[in-house]
Parts: sequence; structure tokens; C-alpha cells
Amino acid sequence: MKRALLLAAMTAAVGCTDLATPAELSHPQILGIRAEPPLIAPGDSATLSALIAGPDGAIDAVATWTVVAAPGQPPLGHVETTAGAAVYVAPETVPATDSGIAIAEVELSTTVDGYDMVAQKLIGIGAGAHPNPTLTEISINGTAASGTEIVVPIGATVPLSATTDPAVGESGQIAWYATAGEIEIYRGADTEMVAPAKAASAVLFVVARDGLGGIDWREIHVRFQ
Amino acid sequence: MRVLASVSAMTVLMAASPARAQVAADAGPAPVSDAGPADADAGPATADAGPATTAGAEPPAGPTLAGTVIDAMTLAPIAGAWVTLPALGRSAITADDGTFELTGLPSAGAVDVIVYAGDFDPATAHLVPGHAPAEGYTIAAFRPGALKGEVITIEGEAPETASAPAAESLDRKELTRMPGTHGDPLLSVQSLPGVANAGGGGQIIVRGAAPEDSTITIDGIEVPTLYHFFGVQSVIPGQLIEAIDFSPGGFGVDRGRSTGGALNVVTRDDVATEPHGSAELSFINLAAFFETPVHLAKNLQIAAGVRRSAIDLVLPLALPDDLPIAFTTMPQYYDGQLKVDWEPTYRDHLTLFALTSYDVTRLINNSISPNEPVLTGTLSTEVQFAEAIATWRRDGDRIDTRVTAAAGESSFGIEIGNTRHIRVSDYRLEIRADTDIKLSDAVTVRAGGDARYAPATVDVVAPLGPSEGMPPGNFSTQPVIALKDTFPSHTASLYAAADLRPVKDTTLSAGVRLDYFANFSAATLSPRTFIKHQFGNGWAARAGVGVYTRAPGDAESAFRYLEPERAVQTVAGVERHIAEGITAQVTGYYTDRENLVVQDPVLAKTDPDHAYENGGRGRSFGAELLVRAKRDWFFGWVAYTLSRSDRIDLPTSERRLFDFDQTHNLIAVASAVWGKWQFGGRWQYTTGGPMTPIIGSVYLSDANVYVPVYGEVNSDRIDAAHQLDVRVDRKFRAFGVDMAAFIDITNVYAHARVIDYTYNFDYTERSAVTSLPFLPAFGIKGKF
Repeated sequence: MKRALLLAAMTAAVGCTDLATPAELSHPQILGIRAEPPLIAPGDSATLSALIAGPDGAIDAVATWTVVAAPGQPPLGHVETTAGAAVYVAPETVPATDSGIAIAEVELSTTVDGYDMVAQKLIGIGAGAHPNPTLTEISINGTAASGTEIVVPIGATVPLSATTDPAVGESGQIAWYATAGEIEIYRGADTEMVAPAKAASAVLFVVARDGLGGIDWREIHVRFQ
Repeated sequence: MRVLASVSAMTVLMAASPARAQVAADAGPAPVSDAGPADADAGPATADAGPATTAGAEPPAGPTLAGTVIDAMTLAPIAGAWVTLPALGRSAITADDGTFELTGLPSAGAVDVIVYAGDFDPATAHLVPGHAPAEGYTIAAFRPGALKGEVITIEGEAPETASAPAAESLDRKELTRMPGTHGDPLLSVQSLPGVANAGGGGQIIVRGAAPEDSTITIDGIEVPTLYHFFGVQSVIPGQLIEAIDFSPGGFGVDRGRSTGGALNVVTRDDVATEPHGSAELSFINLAAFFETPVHLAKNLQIAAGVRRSAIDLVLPLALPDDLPIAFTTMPQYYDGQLKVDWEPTYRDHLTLFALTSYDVTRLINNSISPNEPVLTGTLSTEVQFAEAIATWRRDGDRIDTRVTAAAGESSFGIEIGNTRHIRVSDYRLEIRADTDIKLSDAVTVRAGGDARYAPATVDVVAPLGPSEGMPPGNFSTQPVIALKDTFPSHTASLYAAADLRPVKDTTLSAGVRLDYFANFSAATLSPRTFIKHQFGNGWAARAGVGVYTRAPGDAESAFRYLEPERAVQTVAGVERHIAEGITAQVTGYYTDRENLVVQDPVLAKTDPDHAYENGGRGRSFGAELLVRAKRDWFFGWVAYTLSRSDRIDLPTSERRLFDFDQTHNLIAVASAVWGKWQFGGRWQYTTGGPMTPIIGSVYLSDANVYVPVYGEVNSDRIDAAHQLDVRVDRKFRAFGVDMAAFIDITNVYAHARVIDYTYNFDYTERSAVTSLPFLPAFGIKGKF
């Protein structure tokens, strides 16, 4: 156990260098699942959505939604799917917990280009309110991303930054993905992107999590020239 | 009882019969034997140059010291040897038949004798005038470079019994020149049949048992570890090792708290007659060793050694610039040893052996692993221990007694990022006593026991970690256990056994052992029995069965409701002396294991305080073949092990392969001397270890990590491993100092051994983690 831990740590450090990172979007992957709202009262519902992306940008995939049951327990609620929209419906009564909030585990399954993907999202059921955070400002090379295509010089290393409301704080995280160029540090409110050496277009995704189940994302088009 | 120990002594004294002399040289220290220097030069005096002999003088009053001086190897008498009693100023020269006689000696007890015989090494002895056997004492002298002090013993089954199966003995020159070991005798253990090759890590995996199933002791005292990081080097230099008692299974009741094998390092206890020293510089470490007699007449000697790793000095030159980790402290180790030997009387031997070892590595991981964010940042490990072992051994005519007292402390720490750590420290006080009583030529009774006081303090903030057979899981997402406590890891044991020889050529040993484990408030009873029969024509057969137990260890120690694990080991084998220097043996074994500690994955999440239970069962079985050849200029062997080891975790579980199962393990070793050159090679093929395949992953959206989905436990295997190691030694003399240079290349043809696999963020791609494909070690050693 002791030596294995260090070996695992060193392996994680050394071994991941030759393998694809999530920021590269080298193949289809799920970048996030959102429940709107992430915390609901018993009997209430939350709208589910997912961000799936690949080398060409966002992917509109057909997904299957289920509620995962704890061992020996019935599923906590159910998912209703109508016209491509998925809604989680919490039961009228939930098991008592120390925190006063029961947790439902929703699972998404989909297949894109031969990649089978499974992702899970936790939804809180209890009293109170907890909204998803909102990405308020995204800056690329000092230019605010406001829906229009951002131009980045080829070969340049440019700063990226993002802010949310409320701030995600230490328990949260902001992740960056790009279909072209290279993200220097994949997680972090402030990072850098190295533009490719040749002219190209790319899609940049920013995903913010508050660490409490709240999530927001943005899609930004970038042109390297 | 280890064998061949007496060969470390330069002089063997016994009754005059040459046949008995041979027996004593092979079977253990004679009561009045004394140790000589390991590499003493030839005696300073010859018969011609010696002082006047007392022969022919009128015999004065007082006891007489008489005997014969013989060549230890040929048993031929040595004429003209100078037999001296320095303290009394008396001497004699042996006659043509090797005999001598010194009369009129003071009747004040034992006297020290030094024999100088031509080109033989000086021989020392501690004798009692007037108390020799009727036929007189026999003093055996060794030629320089003969076996003196150069034997390390690797034993087979049940070594302590009078009917011990044929012991495998390898002399120090063989072990320290084994290719791929960098001259470390303890690394040679991993080239023996029944020992699985774990690909480094310093783990001793014996006959399908987990590393923690086997015990590692120094002079009978358990030590935290025998190897520095990743098994690159052991913590004791070869100069201090007299014997390695290695029992892959079926060992006697004097050893316990192990359900696998037992490895005991026996430190040297011979006494040097001259100061000696050596220094070594290699890519592995820098080392210095020194030994000197403090008082030759009183047989008091001191020896000391110190080593420092050289890897951390060399590694920066080999690491690529774009490595995503930055070492703040390169992997480095230090160790030091101090040994004091004193023989106050010819029957008593007192030894103090102190040992300390320190390993440290610190690094900063700048690579953010997508699924293991906790592993980012500072990673460090620090291991140290110190042990002092005092031993009193008394060799009687019929009763041999050994009492050992030890004190030690150790600590282990690993820091992972800013949020996880494991810190364990303990100190130990231990006493052990063993006695052998020879009631007759056919009956020997043995008894003993030990008591160990060892409180261990644990400070852990880390995931519980999977138990054997479970996939490693995700370190960052597993529930974190916070524990700070002290555990009474005290133990005590008693044992008794009888060695019987009911008929000629058949020996039987039977005994029982009682163990108490304070941390678990549990006691176990372990009966064991062995039998050996010697047939004609060099054939011998042996068999044994016994019960073995051990306490849960590591993280399991915190769950004090657990019970000791239990194993029943059954072994049987035949051995054959084929020709001079060529032997073969085949051994079969079956081990049934029960009460194995397993983790319930559901309880680990829902009730972590009761995550473990004694619900596992297991078995290990296999066959081992060993063919050895040894000549003056050559040694080598071929060892093959066919084995299987599996487990049933819970009553409802399917049988699965054990983590350390290794179907095939084939080793061939050869080394030959050519003048001042020695060439050696070692080739090994081993089946890859079992692994649990990853068949998918689940993305946890809220944490932004993927967790792997595993297939059947250990249903796949890592790639098989094979490698060739070569070693060349060259002796020479420079600046008046005997020098030796060596080149030891591990894995000559650079077949990268796969240790494990690492995966990309969503487990759709994997990359092999391999051991160093090619590791050259150059070294030079000077000796005076």
C-alpha cells in the first residue's frame, strides 16, 4: 500500500504525458451535465441537459437517462423524456439524512462515433435553494468573448480567464477545452492557450462548476490567423 | 539452525578424526573454534624461522595442550606449522604427522592459540589445556581464498530440524558476483526457485504468498524492511553477512508470525586478526567498510560500514528535460552498521549489531492528472529505522543457548499533495531465547520463545485503499479516512520441538508453537512436523506439514476485531546428488489459506469502521526444480517454478487469481573464472502478473473526473517479462592495494518490463509503465 501509493503517484505524473488530455477534445466526450436547478424540493423536477463535444465541436447526441438506485434501494425518483428534453422528477418523500438533503444519482448513456459514454450527475433533494453559477465574463487574450468569433494570432500564447457569479471558490473549478490549439493548464480560472502555427478555426469550451452540483458552460468560436 | 556457519571460522577444532573434522566443518561451529580474519595474509613465520620448540625439553609440571594441525580442505596433516601461545610466550612446531604438544602450561583455563603454517592463513583458537579429547585437539587451517568467511547459506525446507533437507549453500563470492544484483547478496534471493519476480520493489514473494505473509529478520529479530527504495539495494552490505537462511515454506516452530516464507540474515561473527577495510564506488552507491581486532587475545573485534546512494547523483544526468515532475530531493538512501563481537570464553559469544537506514524522495508533480487532482503538487516519502541487536550465544557440550535482546525504532511517512498523508512510527523492545538440548545422538529437544513490545502510532488522512484483489480505484475520489491512534502491536511466542532419529538415515522433527497477538487479543497454536529419509546412491526424500499464522498488517491493523490469518503448508520433495558438484532437487508444495482478511466494498463505503472481515480463503500450489553445478572455476544453476495461487474473497465469491500469482519462473545463472577475470550471466523469464482489466469508465460530472469500470478481478495479465543480466569482474593490484573492478549490466537487450499500465483521462487509451530498460552499474573496490 505504502509503496504502491508512491508508485501510483509517480505513474500518474510520468505516465500521462504521452496520452491525450481532456482539453484536446481528441474524441467525443461529455464535458458536463446540468440540472436546472441542481437542488429541488421533494416532488419537484429539474431539467437535465448535457454538453457533449468532440474534435469538431459540440455534438447533439441521442442520450438515455436513468436514475441509479443505491444497493438494495429503489431508484430515488425518475426521469421523463419528451421531445428530446429530459426532466428529473423527485419523489414526494425521500429518506432522512443528516444533512437534510437526499441525493439522487442520474445517469446519462450515449454512443458517438463508436465511443460509449456514461456520465453521472447528483441532484440534491431537500429544502432550500441552490442556483447554478453563471459564467459572467470570459476573456481571451484580453478580449471579452461576447458571442462573436475571437481572433488569435497564430503561434501566439494568449491568456484565458473566466469569472462566475457567484464565484466558484476553492471548492469549484473552471475547465477549458479547445478543438485546436493547446490549453496549457486544463483546470483553472486563469490559464493560457497556445495557438496553432497555421491558420485554423476552433471551438473553445469553458465549463464552470461550483463544487456543490452547480454548473455552467459557454461555447466560443476562435479563429487563428 | 543454519548450516555451514563454522566455515566462517578459519579454524575448526575438534577431535582428531579427519572424518569428524569434515562433519564439524559442515555442520556448525565447534565448541572451541575461533574465528580468524577473512583475508589475512599468510603467517609471518615459517617452521624454520620460528622460535625454539619445546619438543625434546624436560616436561615441566602443569597441563598439556596437544593436538594436530591439518589442512582444512584436504584434511592432510601439516608439518612444520608454528603453534604459538602469545600470552604465555610458548610455542611448538608440528611434527611430520602434524601433531604438536605443549606441556607444563598454567592451569588457568583457556588460552589463545595462533597457528602459522607456511602459505596458510593464520589460524586462531581458544583452548583449554588438559581438557582436550583423548585424541587431542585438531586445528584446521585454511589457505588464502578458501572458504573462510565466505559462505552464505540458502536453505531449503525446515532448516532448524535435525533432519533438515539438503541445504543449498552459495559462497559469498558467488552471491556478490551474481549478475544483476550489483554485488548485493540479498538480491540473489530473488533468483531462487519458489520466489516470484515482482519487478523490483524489494518485495519477497514466496510460493504464491503476499509479501506481508513472509517475515524478514536479522539475527532472528524482525526489521521493518530489508531493502532500500524499489529494492535497488539491501540495507546490509555483503561484508557483514555470514548466512542467509531462506525458507520458502515448511519452516520449523522456532520461526513464526508468517504464513509464507521466512528470510533471516545472519550477520558475521568471526573475529579478524588484522585490520581490513574496503571502499567502493559505483553508480549504485558509495560505500566504506572497516573491521579490526580490538583485542585479539580476548577475541574482541569491531566492524563498521557506511553507504550512501549514488543514484541521486547520476539520475539528473539521465532524466529528460520535459519531465512533468521536479525532484526537490532526488531518491537517496543512507545506511550504517556497527558490529562488535566478543568471545569472553571458548563457549560464549557476545555480539552487538547496530543498524540504521534512511530513504527519502521528494518531488513536485507539475502534471495535473485529470482524474487524480490530489496527486498534483508535493509528493514525498521518507522511511527510516534503527535497530540494535545484542546476542549472547553459549555453545555447550549438550546444551546450546542463544539469547537475543533488541531495541529499535522506525518511521514511515508519505505526503501526497497538501491533503493526504500516511505517517506511521513505532519503537520496539524485544527479547528472544532459544535453547537446544541434545539428549542423545537420536534425540534433541529444542525450546524457546520471544516477547515483543511494539506500540505503533498511526496518523493517516488518506483513502482506506483497496485490499488485495481489488482494483486500485481512484485515489482522489475514494472516501478519506482520518485516523490518529496508537496500536499495541505487541507479540509473544513459545515453542518446543523434538528432533528424533528413530532409525539410521531417517530423521523426524515435530513441534508446536504458541503465538499471541496483543493488538487482536488473539492466540494461535501451530503444530508442525517434518521427516527426511536418506536413500542410497545420493537420493533423499523429505516431507513436512505445518500450521502457520500471522496477524493482519498495514491498514488492517486498525481493525482490532480481526483474527490472525492461517495457513496449512504441505511440502514434499526429493533430491539427488548426481555427480561431484552437481545436485538436483524437486519440491512440490500445497498451501491452504483461511481466515484471510478481505475488504467488503459495500461496508468500505457504508460502514468503514467494519470494512474488513476474515472471510477469504486461498490456496497456493506448485512444483520447483533446481539443478546446480559448482566447480572451483564455475558455478551456476537452473531453477524453474510452476505455480498457481488463487483466492476466494467471500463465501459467495468465485475463485480468482491472486495478485502475485506467477505461472512460470525460469532462471538460469552461470559464472566462470578465467584468471583474474570472472564472467557471469543470468537470464530470467517470468509470466506477467495478474491484472484487472478496465473495460470502461463513468464520468462524474460534478467532480469532473472519470472513474474506471473494471472487468473480472485479475482476469488479464501484464506482459511476460524476460531479461539477461551480465557481469564482468577483474581483479588487479594498484598502489599497493588489492582492487576489483566490475561492470554489472541489468537487462542487456533492453526488454522493457511492464510493471503496470497508465490510462488517459477517460480510460480509452493506455500506456505501459515499464521498469528501466537498461541499467548499467560500474564499480571499483579497493581492499587492504
